[in-house]
Amino acid sequence: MTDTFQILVNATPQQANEKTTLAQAAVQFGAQPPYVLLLNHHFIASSQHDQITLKPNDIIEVISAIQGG
Amino acid sequence: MTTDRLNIYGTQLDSRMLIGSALYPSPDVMQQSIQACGAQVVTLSLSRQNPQANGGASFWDKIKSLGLHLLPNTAGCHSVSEAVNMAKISRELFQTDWVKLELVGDDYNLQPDPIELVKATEILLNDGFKVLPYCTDDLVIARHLVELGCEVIMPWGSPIGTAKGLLNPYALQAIRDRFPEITLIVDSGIGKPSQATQALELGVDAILLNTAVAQAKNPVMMATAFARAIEAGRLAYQGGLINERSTSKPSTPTLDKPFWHQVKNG
Repeated sequence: MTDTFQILVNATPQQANEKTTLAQAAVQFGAQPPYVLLLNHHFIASSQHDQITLKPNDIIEVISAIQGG
Repeated sequence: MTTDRLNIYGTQLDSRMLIGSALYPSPDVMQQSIQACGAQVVTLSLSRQNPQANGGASFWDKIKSLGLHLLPNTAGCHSVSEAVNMAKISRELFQTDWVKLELVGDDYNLQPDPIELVKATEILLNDGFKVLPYCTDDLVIARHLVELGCEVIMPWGSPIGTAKGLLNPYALQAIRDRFPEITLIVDSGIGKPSQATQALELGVDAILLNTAVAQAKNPVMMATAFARAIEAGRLAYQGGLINERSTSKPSTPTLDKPFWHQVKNG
C-alpha cells in the first residue's frame, strides 16, 4: 500500500503518491494542451514530465496562453 | 519598385501594425479585428491554466488559426528574475525566441523600469532571445539597449492604455535620428488613428496597439482605420514632408493673371 500525500496544482490541493509522475498530476488536474509545467517554481521540460515523481507538498503550476497586449 | 517592409530581427513583414489580443468583447471579435487590420504579429501572454474555463482553449484555437507571428510579453513582471523566467516559459510554450520585454517600474502608470529593463535585456539576448524591449522615450536608455544588441526598441508614446498619443514627439524624433538603422516601434498610448499617423510621419517604423482597437465601439472598423492611418503615415514619411513656415506663400501662380477685379473704373 502506497501512502498518499497532498500536492498543490495551481494552488488547488490534490492527492498523489510516490509513484505519481508530474505528467499524471497534470492530467488529473485536467490540464489542456498546450501547457508548460513548473515544479516548485522551476520550469520542467516536457521530455521530463514522465520521468519525475512527486513528493509531499510539491507545488505544480500549469501555464498556458492568455490574451495580452 | 522597391519593397518597403518592416524588419523584426531579420523577419520581413508587410504590415507595420502589431496588435494585442486582450480586452476584446469576445474571441470572435478579436479574431475579426486582427484579420481586418492585416497585422502579422500578435501579442499574447501566459497565466496559470483554469480547466473550469476550458483552459483558454477557445482563445488559443483562434490565435493559432490566424497563423501569425506570436510575440509573448512579460506583462506584470516587476523584477529581472520574474521577467527572465516568464520569457523562458513563453519560449517553451509558444516556440518562439521573440519576447516583448516588459518590466514594470511603477504601478501608477506602468512605467518601465529602465535600469532593470537593461539588465534583463542583456540576460535574454545572451540566452538567444530576440528582445523587443518596452521602454520610455529616453534617448540614453535606448542607446544602452541598442549597444547591448537590440535590433528593435519599443518606446512608449504615452503610458499603457491612456490614449494620450505622442506625449513627447521630440524624444521619439531624437531616437529615430540617433538610431536610423534600428526598428522603432511605438508600443503604447496610441488612442486615435491620427496619432499613429503622426508617429509614422516622424519616422517610427511601426505601431503596437491593443486598447484603442479592442475597446472601440466597433473594434473591427477601428482596426481597419488604424491600418489605413499607419499606411498613410508611412507613405507620408517616405514622400518627404515639407517644412513648416511662419508666413504664407501662394500655392497658385499669380503671374499673368487678368486681375479683373483690380481694374480701376473710368
